[in-house]
Amino acid sequence: MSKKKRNPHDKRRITRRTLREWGFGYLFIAPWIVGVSIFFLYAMVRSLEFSFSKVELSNGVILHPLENGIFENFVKVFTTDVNFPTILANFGVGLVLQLPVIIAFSLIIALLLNSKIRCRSLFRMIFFLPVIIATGPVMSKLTAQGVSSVPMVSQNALLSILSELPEFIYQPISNLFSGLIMILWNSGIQILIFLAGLQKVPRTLYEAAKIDGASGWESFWKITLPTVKPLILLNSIYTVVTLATGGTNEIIELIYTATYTATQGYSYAMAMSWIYTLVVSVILLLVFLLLREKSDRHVVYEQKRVVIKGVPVKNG
Amino acid sequence: MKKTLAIVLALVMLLSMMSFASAEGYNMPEMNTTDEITLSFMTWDDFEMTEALAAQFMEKYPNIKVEVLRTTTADIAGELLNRAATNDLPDVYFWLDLEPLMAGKYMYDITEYIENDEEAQTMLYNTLKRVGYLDGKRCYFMAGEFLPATVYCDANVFEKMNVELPSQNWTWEEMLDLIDKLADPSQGYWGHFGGMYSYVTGGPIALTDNAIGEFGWNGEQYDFASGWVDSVETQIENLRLGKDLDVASPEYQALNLGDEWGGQTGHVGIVTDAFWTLNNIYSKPICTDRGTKMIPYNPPVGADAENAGQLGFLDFFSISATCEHPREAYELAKFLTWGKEGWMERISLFPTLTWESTGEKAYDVPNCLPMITDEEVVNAYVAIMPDLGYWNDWAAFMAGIQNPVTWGSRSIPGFASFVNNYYHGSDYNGTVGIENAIREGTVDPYDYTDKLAEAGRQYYEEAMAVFYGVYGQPE
Repeated sequence: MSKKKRNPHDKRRITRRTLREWGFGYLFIAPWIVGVSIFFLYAMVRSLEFSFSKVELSNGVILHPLENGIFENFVKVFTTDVNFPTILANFGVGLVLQLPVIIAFSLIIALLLNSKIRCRSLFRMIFFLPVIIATGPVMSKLTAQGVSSVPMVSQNALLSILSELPEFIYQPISNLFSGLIMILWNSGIQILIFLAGLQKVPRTLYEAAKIDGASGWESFWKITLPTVKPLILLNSIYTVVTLATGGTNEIIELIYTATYTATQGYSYAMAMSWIYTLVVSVILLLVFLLLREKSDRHVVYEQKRVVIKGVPVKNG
Repeated sequence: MKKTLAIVLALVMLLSMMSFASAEGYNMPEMNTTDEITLSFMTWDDFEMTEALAAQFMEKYPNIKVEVLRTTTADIAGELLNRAATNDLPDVYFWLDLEPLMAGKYMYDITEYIENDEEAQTMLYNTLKRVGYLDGKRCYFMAGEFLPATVYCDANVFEKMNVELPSQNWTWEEMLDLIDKLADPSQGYWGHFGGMYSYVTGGPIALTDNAIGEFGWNGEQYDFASGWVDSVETQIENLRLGKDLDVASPEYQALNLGDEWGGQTGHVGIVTDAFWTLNNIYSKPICTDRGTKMIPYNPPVGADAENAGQLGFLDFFSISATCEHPREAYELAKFLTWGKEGWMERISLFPTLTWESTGEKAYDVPNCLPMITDEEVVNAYVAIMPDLGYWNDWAAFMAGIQNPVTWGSRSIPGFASFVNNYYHGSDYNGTVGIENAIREGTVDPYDYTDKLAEAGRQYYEEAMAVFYGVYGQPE
C-alpha cells in the first residue's frame, strides 16, 4: 500500500500561520462571543427551561413541574388566549405588506441620494436621523400623537373602496396606510446599506452601457438591480427582524402583558416568546429561500459583466 | 369591713372595665427593634417630597435609616420582578398592577397592623380600609396615593347655555340630565367629553350598591345588571345623538380647532377627567384665554345606589414578604403615604418644596389628596388649595370624595385577563368585543349581564387559585 503524499499546495492544510490567524480572529470576536454567551444564549436557554415549567418568584426563582405535561404552556397559548393567534396572524399579513414597501422605498431613496444632487450629505443625514431618535419609547409617544399616519389618509377614497373587502384583508391594508410614515421611519438603515452597495458599482459599467445605447431604465435593470440584489436579501432580513422586535410591536406588548398576569405569568409568556421566535425564524427562512442568490445565476451575472465590459462600441 | 369590701368591689369593677376597654381597643404591636436598621422604600413619583418626609421620619426614629429607591412607572413592574427573582425586594414598594404580586410571594400580610391601628380604623376612608383584603380575610396592601377622578363643569358653557350649575353633592342622574341640557352641536356646544374615563368605567361603580370596583364589583362578584347596561347604552347613544363631543362631526370640524384635545376646546359643558387636569390644562392660557372656567366636582353616584363607590386614581404599596422589620416598615409606609402625622408634614412642605433639577417651586397645586377624614388635616389641606377666582369651595369638594375605588386591573384579581380575553376579546354574534357588538346592534346587552358576570367570576377564581397556591388558604 503506497503512502499518499501530501500536496504542499493543498489549501486545506492547516499551518501554524493559519492557526495563528484563526487565533487572532477569535481573539477579536471574543468580546462578542462572551457577551452573547452570557447575555443572550444563557438567557435563551433559561427562557426555554421556564417555558416548560411553572415559574414562581418567591425569594428567588422557583420552578414547579407543570401539571398537564411539559407542553402545557404551549397548548394554553393556542387554546385559551383569544388574542395571540389573531395578533400573530395580523403581524404575518402586515409583514408581507410592509416588507416590499420598505425595501422599494429604501432602494428608490438610495438611488436618489446616490445621484449628484446639491446638499447630498444633508439629505443623507435627514433620512438617517430617524434611526438615531426612533427608539421604542420615542416611537410610542410619536405614534400616540398621530405622527405615524399621513393626515386624512384614513378618509381617502382608496380606503373607502377597500372597506368593502373582508376584514382580515382590509385591516392590514388600512394599517399599512395609517402607519405609512412609520414605514418610512423604519427605512434609514436599509437606505444606508443600499447606498453603500450602489457606491461600489463601477462607473465604467454605466459608461459602457451608455455607449452601448442602454437607457437609464435598462441600466437600472441590467446593472444596478443585479448588483444590489444580494443587499435586498440582507435588507429584507434586517427589516423582518426590525419589525418583529420593534418597540411598537403588538405581540411583544402581549407577551409583556402576559408576564404580569397571575393566570398566565412568566412561564406562559416564555412559551409565547418561543412560539413567536419560531414563527419569525420560519419567515426569515422563507425570505432567505425567496431572495437568495443562486450560484448558477451568479455565474451568468459575472459573464454578463464581462460581456458588457468587453463590447467597446456599438457598430453603426 | 364594709369600707374594705367597697374598695375591693370598686377595684374589681375598675379592672373589669379596663379589660373590656382593652378587648374593644387597638393592640398595635410595639416596634420590634431599637437597633440600627435600614429600610428601603421604592417609588416612581414625588422623589423630593418622599425624601423630605423620609428625613422627618428618620428624625423621629433615629435608629432607622430610610433609603428611597427611585424608579419609573414604565420600569416598576420589571424592576419588582427582577428584584423578586434575585431576592432583593425593597422593604416597602409602590406597585402598579396587582396580579404579578399574586403569582409570587411579594407581599407581607399586614392584617395585624391595619386592624390594630386606631388611625387606620377610625380615619381612613371606608373603601380604603378594605381594599387590600384580597381574600376577604388577609390584607396585603394599602393605598399610598390618591387623586379623585374629577368631573369638570365649565361655568362659561353653563352660562352660555343658560343652565344652572349643580351642587357638589350631585347625582349620576343629575349629571346625565345636565349633559342633555348643555348639548347643542348646532350652536357649537356639547354636553360631555370623556377624558380619562367614560360612562362605562364610571357608571357601573356609581350605580351599583356597595360597588368597590369596575363593573359593579363588590369584592366577590361583578354586577352587570345594575349600572352597566344603562352606561353602555348612554355611551353609544350620547355619541350618536351629538350630546357627547365627536371630533369627527361636521359641527366640530367647522370650528377649525384642529386635533385639540376635546376637553380644552371651551365647547364642552362637562368633562369626566382627572384631578391633575385642573393644574396641567385648565389653568393654562389655552383655556383661560377662551374664557373657560372649569369647576372641579366629585364623581357623582346614583341617587338610589347604597354605598356606591367613586372612581379615583389610587396607587398602592405593599411591604415585602422578605422584609425583616415589617412593623417598622409599616410605620414608615404610613408616615410617607396616608398617616396623619406624615400628611401634616406634607401639607407644610407643599408650598415650599422645589424640584432638585431646576430649583423651581414643585407644586402650584398639591399633586395628591389626603385619604383620611381627620378634620385638622382636611382644614390644613383646604387652606393651601388655590382660589380659582370664580370658585373656591374646596371643603365641599373634599367632603364628596370619601368613597374612592379604583380601576379594575389595580385591585380586582383576574380583571385584566377577563377584560382582554372575554369582554373585549371574545366573539359576540360575529363581532369581537361586547361594546362593539352592542354598538353595531348585533347583541342585546341584557342578554349578556349574567354571562359576563359568570365569566368575570371564573377569571377571578383562576387568579385567586394562583394566589392561594402561593400564599396559602386563609385560616
